[in-house]
Amino acid sequence: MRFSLLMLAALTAAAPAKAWWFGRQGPDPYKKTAAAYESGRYAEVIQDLSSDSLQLVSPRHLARAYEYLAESYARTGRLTDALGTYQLGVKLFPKDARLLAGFGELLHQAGLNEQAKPLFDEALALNPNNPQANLGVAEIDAALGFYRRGRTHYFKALETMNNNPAVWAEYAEVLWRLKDYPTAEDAAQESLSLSSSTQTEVLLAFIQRSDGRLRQALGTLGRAAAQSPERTDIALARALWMMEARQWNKSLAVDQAVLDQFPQNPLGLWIRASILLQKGRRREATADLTAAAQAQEESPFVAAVAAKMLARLGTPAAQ
Amino acid sequence: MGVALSAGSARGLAHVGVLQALDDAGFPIDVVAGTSIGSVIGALYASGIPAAKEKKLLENVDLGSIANLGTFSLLRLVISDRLISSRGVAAALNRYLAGKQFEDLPKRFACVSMDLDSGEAILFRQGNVGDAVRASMNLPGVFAPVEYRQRYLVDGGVVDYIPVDAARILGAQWVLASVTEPDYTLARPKSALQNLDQVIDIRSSLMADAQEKIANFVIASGSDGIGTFQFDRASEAADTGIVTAHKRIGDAEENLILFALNDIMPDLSAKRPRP
Repeated sequence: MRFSLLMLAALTAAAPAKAWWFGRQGPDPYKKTAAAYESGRYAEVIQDLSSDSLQLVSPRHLARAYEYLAESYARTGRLTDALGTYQLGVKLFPKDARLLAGFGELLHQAGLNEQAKPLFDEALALNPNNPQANLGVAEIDAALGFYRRGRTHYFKALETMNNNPAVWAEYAEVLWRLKDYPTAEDAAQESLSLSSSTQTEVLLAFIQRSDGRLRQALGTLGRAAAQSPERTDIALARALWMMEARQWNKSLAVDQAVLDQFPQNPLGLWIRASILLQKGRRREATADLTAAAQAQEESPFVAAVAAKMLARLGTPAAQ
Repeated sequence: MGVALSAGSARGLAHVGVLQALDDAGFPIDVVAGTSIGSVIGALYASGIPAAKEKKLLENVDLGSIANLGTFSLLRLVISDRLISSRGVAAALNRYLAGKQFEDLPKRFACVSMDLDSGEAILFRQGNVGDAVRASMNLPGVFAPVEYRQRYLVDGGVVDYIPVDAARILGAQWVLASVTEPDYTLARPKSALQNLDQVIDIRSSLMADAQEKIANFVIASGSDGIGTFQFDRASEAADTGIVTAHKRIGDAEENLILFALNDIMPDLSAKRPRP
């Protein structure tokens, strides 16, 4: 009696599989939906795998069907549906590493890392090579400051995802944080060889600078600036590094271009003030530092540095 | 730059995570001062073991049994009223430190203990590092006092929970304090040992409040409910330290730069010739 009840409960929980046990009422839609999913026709997958059609999928393919449906929901912005589908899929197939990793990824993308991490860990316990779970754990670890663990998981993820420039770039950043500059540079170059990206050029420049190759870094940062001239952060970094390389006039020109657009940019003002001080133009420098020191809310660090410099110049910043 | 590593028993293993995050961010740590568990971690770090390696080491050794803090020892302490010997701590440290003296350490290091007769804080800066660390982490009421140069010494956490001043004596101008404060409000002590632990925790917390104010920057790792003797949770405690420090690294960098600005900035008062 108890066994029969348990069987009934199990079959009810596995509602989509019922049709397969009790007889098909139509063709198995799995092959068609798998093809649609692989070609990125997500709306078609959602349509083909409505809850009725899910019952027609053979148990052999049911876990994948749940994965395709949940992913299709996620990729078309229907996150609540994706969440519900993953929850059900994971309940039905608790030992399916891909479903666990996919569910983890959905939560990770939503910033719910504390909920995502155990799912990734479960997926990795079932399949240590699961690329999605390795990538998820790597990203979470890196964000928390666990760079060594992150490096290991990125490395694993890249065994499968070696055509993904974003993963190479993330891996490069972790290696840079670990001060493994040659490997970090190789990873960044690999990413750039797959796809050009301003952000990765910037990262490469930082790696080269950390490795003591300031001139090369400036060249790389120049390329990034040319790709995205609207990025004032890159322009200001260039101006700063040019100061570091004692290229005062070049630095002033780059900085001035930013200040022409944003005359009150605190960092821009501080850079100009520093160069003007180098040139002995104290009065103009003092004016820039005074303006930068006012930016306590926008840029508290720059404002504090400017205030300290003013004090050193004998001109305390106005409160 | 100096780091002052607070007392805190098993919770204090978070310090090794904080040191790892500081290493990763490239902080130029010149001197280290530690009290109690902070002295253990500080001594190993000052001896040149990188924080990441030290973290692995501490995760893989049974600190509880090295310190003779097994269930059997604690039971014997309660039943027979005989304090535990902390000799094992010095022996283990001397193994890792190859019997080094303070003067042999690549980074300047000091640790603090308390004279049981006078209540003075005793700052160790010379002699055998293992012996000094043993005295520094000699928890009163659990370990027997260490007899050293005609003094009876117990854990420095009772008088100098965060050794900021010790780091300054070693020459540090800017001191970052890594602190693991207990959350004694959650404890419901039942035994004599737990009561003693609770009193020490309250006293430590009050002292920490005052000492944090004299540090230039404080990284306070949460205790996450790790008990005084839960050394088996070393990995968890160290991870808490990494996560906490990682969140505060940017602020610490800015604080250090602002502090050092006068030293790193050229003299602006003099007029410069045009380049």
